[in-house]
Amino acid sequence: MIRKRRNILAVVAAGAMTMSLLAGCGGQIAPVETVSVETTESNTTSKTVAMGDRQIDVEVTDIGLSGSFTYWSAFTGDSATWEQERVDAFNEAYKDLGITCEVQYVPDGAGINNGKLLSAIAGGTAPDLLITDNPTSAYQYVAEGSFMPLDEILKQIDLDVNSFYDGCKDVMYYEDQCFLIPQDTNVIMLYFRPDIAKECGLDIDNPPTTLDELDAWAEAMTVADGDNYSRLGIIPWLDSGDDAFVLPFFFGADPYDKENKKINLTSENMVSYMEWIQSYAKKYDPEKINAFSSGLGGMFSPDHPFMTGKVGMTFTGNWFTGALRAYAPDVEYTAVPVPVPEYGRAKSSTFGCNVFAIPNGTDPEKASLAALYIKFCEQGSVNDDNFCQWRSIPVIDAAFDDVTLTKEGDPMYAMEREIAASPENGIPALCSVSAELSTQFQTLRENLIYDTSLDPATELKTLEEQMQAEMDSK
Amino acid sequence: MKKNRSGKLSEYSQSKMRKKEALHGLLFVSPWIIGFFTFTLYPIISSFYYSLCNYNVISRPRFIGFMNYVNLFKDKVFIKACQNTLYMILIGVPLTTLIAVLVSLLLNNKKLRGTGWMRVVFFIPTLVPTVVACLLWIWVMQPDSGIVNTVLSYLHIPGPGWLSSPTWAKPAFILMMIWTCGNAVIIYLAGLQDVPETLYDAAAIDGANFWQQSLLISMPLIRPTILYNVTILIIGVFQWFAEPYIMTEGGPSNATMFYSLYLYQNAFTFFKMGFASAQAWIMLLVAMVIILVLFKVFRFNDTEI
Repeated sequence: MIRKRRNILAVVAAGAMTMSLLAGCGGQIAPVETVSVETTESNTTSKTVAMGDRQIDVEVTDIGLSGSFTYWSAFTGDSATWEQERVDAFNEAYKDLGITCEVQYVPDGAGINNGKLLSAIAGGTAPDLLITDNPTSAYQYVAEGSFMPLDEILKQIDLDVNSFYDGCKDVMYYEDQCFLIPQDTNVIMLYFRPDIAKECGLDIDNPPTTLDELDAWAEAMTVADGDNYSRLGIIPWLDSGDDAFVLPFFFGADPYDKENKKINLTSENMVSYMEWIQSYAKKYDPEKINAFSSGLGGMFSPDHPFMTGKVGMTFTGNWFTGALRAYAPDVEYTAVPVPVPEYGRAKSSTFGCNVFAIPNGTDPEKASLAALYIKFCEQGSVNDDNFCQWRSIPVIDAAFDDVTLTKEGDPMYAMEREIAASPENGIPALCSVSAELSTQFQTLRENLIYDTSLDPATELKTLEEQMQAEMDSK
Repeated sequence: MKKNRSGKLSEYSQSKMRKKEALHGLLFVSPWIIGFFTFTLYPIISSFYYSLCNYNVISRPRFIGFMNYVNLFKDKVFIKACQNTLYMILIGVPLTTLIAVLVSLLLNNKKLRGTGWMRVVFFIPTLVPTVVACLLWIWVMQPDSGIVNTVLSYLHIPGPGWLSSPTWAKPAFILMMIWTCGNAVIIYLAGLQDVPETLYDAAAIDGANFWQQSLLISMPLIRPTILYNVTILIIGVFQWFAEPYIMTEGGPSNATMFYSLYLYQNAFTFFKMGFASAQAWIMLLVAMVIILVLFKVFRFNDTEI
């Protein structure tokens, strides 16, 4: 009997150890705050400061406050080096006003993707400012009440966001209040290898513009090697194709109806997208396809299948040019607008923004200082280097004129500007269940890829109902 | 003499000295007790409360009764995560245990040469940090250039997609589990060295060979050790997180969505802390039941041959 009890006790203890893993999450509740900031007359002056090895002219705004603020940056690698230069430039510019930015590098996505930010907010140790490359999840944080509305602060620091692209405003505003400020944005294009296209007898001066042409190019570029492939024309779920709602956008699908607060995964456009994806799975066998893309050959490595010539085309953002320059400088490439079906969104793009946010609960004075950093980062002179390296684009059309690439007459950058100006652009599926909707949608797509007997329309309907119920329960 | 001694003991247990010593003892262990109550017991209890709430960490928890528990069983991904975890318990754990026991039996054989350095070889993988091991195994399991498929190709066997295949992703994780069984091997070896040598000598005189001795003497006598290792492995499978998070993020097609990974996803990506807490409590109960059954079936502490 005693032994039995001891055994039960041992099992309970083992279970308790297991439970304690999760249990640490129980934090105190941070009340949702609306911060009102005293608007003071701002005083803006010009200054020349060092950013890396260059001297740049920047504007410095005096709002009558001084002190330091903490900043979590999502950037890593070369981008982190650039971020450090930017922070150093800010600190130099604001040295006389006694304002200091204390930067910490917090992958993944400044703690948004791995729960670090959530824990920090719950524990009251969140930074005063953060930047993330995951606007979709950031938007869900907004919906959950984690970030501070910025309208008052923007007035205080005199930052006008009205001229930002309408497509960017999708992510900036939640229920008519501004919560997120994009630093820059990116457009998605089709990159193809002209050397491979030529080898396959394709006319590189007439790249694909429609879905049918894309399929024909993909087929022409594909080379079978026994039971496997030595090259594929395109993997529709590689790179940006792997993002949940990037390609559905080009098919004209709108996964979320903001007006009626309804999730819409069953539109004809969405079903067509899934059927198109499934057609590739049926034709080429997903396991054989994924043999190319699994492993470490990610976007920023010389093993990327586009760089090694294992795929002839890929959907990706303008940053890929920077990656190609760094890791495969000898590889020829051409970027064109994403080919679309006749009912799709031609010469348009989803916007991939890096967004700034100030967590709720931040001291109002520190929030104002943090906002100064946002304003500093919106300046063309600060961003120019970023634009040149990664071909990111400004969030205001007029700001293109000040970018070195525009001044130099870079044709690809001109095309990016043309794409960015499309009124169709935006960031899809921004709602209170953004993160879960994206993840579940990606899983559903994988299920349809690996089990081609599944009916896309039925599966999408089931997910739509599940996610609608999830959203309604919030 | 005996009576006299027990009388003294009884006197001592009632004495002020004894009480003082007990107080000192409690004082010495108080940091642990405070830590246990604050960082273990309180969170466990609060996690049960949260499991009955709609709770996203940021706003106040809203009590919804057992709805999280009900919704869990309607959730297809949760069911898939349970199936995947069960697969690892039913196939991965027995296979790993079998191989670890076999290796230990061989390494314990004094007639074999080089067992000393072989023990080191089997233990080395456990010293590799998890993240490094995961990155290494991504390479090892590469469909077109990984070492596993390269070896298979020499044998004219077409290698599967491993981590990129919904069918082969879990077996790939089992291979990795086996690779890191060095800790279990060391514990089995310790258990085997406790088996009296005379039993083997007697069996040898009776004509028993190595395998007969292993099956009829070693195995029954190290049963508590096996049970301990199996228990640790099962708890490990329930808590298995880093490997699938780093190597597959639960894919492809949720084939490697294990229990803890989905729990983490619900808690920290989807803001569903209440839902995740319910999941954790189910994990606790299921782990307890499985382990109790194991203790019952394998008769822990009973080491008769």
